[in-house]
Amino acid sequence: MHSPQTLEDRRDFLARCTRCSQCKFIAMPKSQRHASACPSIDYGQFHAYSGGGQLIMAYGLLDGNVPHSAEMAGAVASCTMCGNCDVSCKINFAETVEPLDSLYALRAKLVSDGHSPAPHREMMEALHRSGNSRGHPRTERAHWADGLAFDGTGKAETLLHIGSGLAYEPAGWPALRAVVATLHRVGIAMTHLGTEEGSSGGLAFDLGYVDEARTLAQELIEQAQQTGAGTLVTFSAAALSAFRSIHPRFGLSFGSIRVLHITEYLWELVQQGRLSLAPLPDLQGRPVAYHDSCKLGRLSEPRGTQDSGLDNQMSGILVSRTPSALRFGNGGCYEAPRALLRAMGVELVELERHHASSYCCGACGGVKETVPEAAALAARNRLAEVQDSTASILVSACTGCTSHLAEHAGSAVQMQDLLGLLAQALRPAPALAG
Amino acid sequence: MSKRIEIPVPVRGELERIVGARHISTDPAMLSAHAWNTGVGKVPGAEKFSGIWPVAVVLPGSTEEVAAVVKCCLRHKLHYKAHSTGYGSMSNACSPETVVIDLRRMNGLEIDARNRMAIIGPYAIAGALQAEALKHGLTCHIVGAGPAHSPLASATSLLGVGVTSQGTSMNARNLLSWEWVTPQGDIVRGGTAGSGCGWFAGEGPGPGVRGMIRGFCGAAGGLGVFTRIGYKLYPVPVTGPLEPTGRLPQLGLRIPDNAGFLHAVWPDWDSHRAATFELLDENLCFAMLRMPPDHIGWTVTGSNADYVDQVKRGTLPEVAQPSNDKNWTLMTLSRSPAEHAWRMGVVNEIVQRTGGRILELADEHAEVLFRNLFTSQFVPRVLRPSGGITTSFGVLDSFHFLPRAMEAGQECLAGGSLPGGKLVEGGREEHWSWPHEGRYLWTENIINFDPASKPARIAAARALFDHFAISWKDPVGLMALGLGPVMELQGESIGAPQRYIRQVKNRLDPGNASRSNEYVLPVVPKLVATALPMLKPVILSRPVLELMSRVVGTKGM
Ligand SMILES: Cc1cc2nc3c(=O)[nH]c(=O)nc-3n(C[C@H](O)[C@H](O)[C@H](O)COP(=O)(O)OP(=O)(O)OC[C@H]3O[C@@H](n4cnc5c(N)ncnc54)[C@H](O)[C@@H]3O)c2cc1C
Ligand code: SF4
Ligand code: SF4
Repeated sequence: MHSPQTLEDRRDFLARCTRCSQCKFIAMPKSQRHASACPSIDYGQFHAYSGGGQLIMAYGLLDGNVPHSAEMAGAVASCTMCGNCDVSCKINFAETVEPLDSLYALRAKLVSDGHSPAPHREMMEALHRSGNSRGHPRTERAHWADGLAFDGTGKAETLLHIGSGLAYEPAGWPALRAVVATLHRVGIAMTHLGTEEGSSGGLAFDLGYVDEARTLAQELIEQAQQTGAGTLVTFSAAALSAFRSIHPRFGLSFGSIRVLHITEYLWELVQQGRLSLAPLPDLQGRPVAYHDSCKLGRLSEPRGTQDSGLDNQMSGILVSRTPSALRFGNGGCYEAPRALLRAMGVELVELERHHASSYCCGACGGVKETVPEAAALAARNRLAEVQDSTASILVSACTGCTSHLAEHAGSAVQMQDLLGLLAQALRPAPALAG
Repeated sequence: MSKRIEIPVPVRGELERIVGARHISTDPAMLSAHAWNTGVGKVPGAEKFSGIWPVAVVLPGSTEEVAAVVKCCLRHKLHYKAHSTGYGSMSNACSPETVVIDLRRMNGLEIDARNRMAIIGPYAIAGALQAEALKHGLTCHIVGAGPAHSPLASATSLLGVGVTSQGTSMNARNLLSWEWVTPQGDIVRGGTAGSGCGWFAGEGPGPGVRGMIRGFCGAAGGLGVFTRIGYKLYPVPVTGPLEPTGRLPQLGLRIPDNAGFLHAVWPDWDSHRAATFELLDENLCFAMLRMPPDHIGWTVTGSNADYVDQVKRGTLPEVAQPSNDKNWTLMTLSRSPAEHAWRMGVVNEIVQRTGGRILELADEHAEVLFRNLFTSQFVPRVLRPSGGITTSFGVLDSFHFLPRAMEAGQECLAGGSLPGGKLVEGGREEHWSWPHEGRYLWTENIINFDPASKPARIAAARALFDHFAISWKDPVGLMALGLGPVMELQGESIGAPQRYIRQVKNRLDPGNASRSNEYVLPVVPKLVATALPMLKPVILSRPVLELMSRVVGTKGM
């Protein structure tokens, strides 16, 4: 059975942190204001809040120099597990430090030592009880599908995975329904898991609950396989990230089921000529910035079968045993959302921090629930970046990012969910219409 | 296990009132980052944590808060240590009574383009400063520690040489005015800032004591806390962000219009030196860097696995081939096509005439090397192979000494970096060399070793000690690494700066509260001072060097 590495397994990686601080910054800053890579250090300021700082603290935990404490838990809980430190570190250090794997292991260590922060425990209890971390009743999970023109619960070629963020977000349902209805009109046979749709295990893994994450992942995979679907399309950026980069840590996969994010799926259909996109009049002539969500972007880069061990060659050069599995952040889902926006006639501008170096909005990793001030600061930082660009509209393809950023956007930046725009613009291709 | 003391509750309360409760910690979790042996610069021991942990770390937000923290420490007989970004462990506490003053919140950055300077705080990092300066067609000097270090820390307190020194000088000369919390906690402005004239000059009409507080090596935290400086910027014919190329981790920069980027090699060091004098005489290059070919190989490959694989398959580009070791990477920056053509023409002519040749460089490699040089990302990158790096043969002198420095570099590595040796495999010597402002040569012999291996650590320490032994026995120009106790061991062979610096230290900080291991020793007992020169031959004898290397390889520096 595959198991993610424990903190003990990561000891040598921790020891190799050079404390260079590169992980606090993006590789090529364009300004001082937006040079930061790490929302956690921006909030906490002590080095221990950074990726490298957590590695040092973790090493201290292992060698007995650093006992558990509220301050340690606070620093760990302020980290959004966004993985930007990993990208920055690897530009110099490639396979030798890989901070993110150690951050996961540190959280798992806090859980196994009984020091998981209370809000994390509460989220996990809710997840057990009702299949989502916010404790919404399971019976309400499929309300979004009320009134759909097809029976979405049988066997079908395409399985829609909604994710709890959108499933319990009534404001997002009209767009969700509209997109699903368009897919139905072009003849896609779809099914979904209704009220029984399980969690991907991604959140549990982020919070350090490794066994629970494995169980949840296994359950969801079984559910999906029972539908007989050939393609799973998820509307959730967080779930995509779990499917592509967390499940492989357990040796789990959906087998022959192809897994796509809704943006990838729709872009594929557009390219196949089955769907088309109409220009959106509201956005014409207005530059639009796209927010690469961490989960959809760098954290969705597929993880291959990786032996994390390093061989020592040429008297001290530490060499990955599975170099083809090294991930530097290039393989995230970056292009499909951009391609869809361009196809809607949108004039896209890139923020200073984009693609693999995108700055986290602050909502993930349990930060919003545990250290809301840190989450709010991250959102404000991200929105300031939009204000310093030529855009005043910010689009995200992640429900979590959209709603969190919208809470802090005020009037200066208009937040838009990509799904909402797609719902307006998607059409069956002319030949298929009707 | 480490030596730690608890800060008395009332003292903590006082500090809390100065910086705010959120900005002080005495928790080992927060202190851990200030007791970490990075394995960089110094040879570490088997333990990752230093034996000395600070009592507290504070995060002041202003110069006034820094001054109040210093005064509080003096009142309670505590020591303090300034910390900017903290790369290389030199800002770690040097006594268990130390309060670390982490300057992370003081990151002011203002560009004064008309005066070609920036006014920066301790946590304005070099990468961000360069990005802001480029908006005005200016750039800054960035030392080898790279884009994430603090130019203020370097300019006020530690050495300051860097790979673009030909065009951007060294930091003792880039420091303009300064704002300083003295060891007694007084706020003093020096240079023109001292008389309210702005930040443009380090000497007069305000008090001009730059040589005293800075000198060549800097006080490394041993002389109070610098909180703001004027920092020289250099015009470049590029405005706005440079255009990135490549894919992670092999990020490059598109080589700007009218910029030249070449890699030239010579058959021997004498012809290399002859070419160097000519290139410098004509003032052709913005940057000239000699890197050992293996380090170039580490830079043009995306991972260690990629590098080792390419070594085995023999596919590394020519620039990374061991035989091309007598090299210069040359960067020229011109303002017009005509100037560019002139520079490139003269460079080519000098290279040909001195028996050198210019190597083919694929765009992909040229762009990666250009980025690493222009943004000074090279040194952090060459930590990748093993994570352990120290330096050995540092020479600051005339280029006349270059061939001998190379030879001496080989002597102190003693084959340790050849196959079968205990150091990371590479060349016979691993010198990084560059000129400063067309004048003098800086060269240092970098040692890469596996910090997790005791024999490798011992070999690294031995190479470092051999460096001292060689340069004391038969000086190869001026030895440039005279930090802390090394100054005492060096003795008075090149003047006696330590005598003068000791007076500065003791007058300004009689209680040695601003405590640093990398600054002059405040007291050297007479007996030791007399005995040291006599003991030198003993210290430099093979068995003693061997013993010292073992101790350092086990316990760390
Ligand atoms: C990989 C690597 C490569 C390096 N290459 C070079 C190189 O090419 N050239 C070179 O000159 N140096 C080099 N260095 C050393 C480098 O100069 C320092 O690391 C650099 O100045 C550090 O900046 P920092 O922000 O990390 O300083 P810190 O580590 O925070 O401080 C460095 C020293 O300055 C003191 N200090 C820091 N801030 C202040 C302040 N505000 N007031 C008073 N004292 C202060 C500290 O106490 C400490 O002694 C290198 C270091 C590393 C790790
Ligand atoms: S995690 Fe990587 S980038 Fe961060 S301080 Fe450590 S070595 Fe540097
Ligand atoms: S994962 Fe994100 S928030 Fe956490 S330390 Fe890394 S960059 Fe910072």
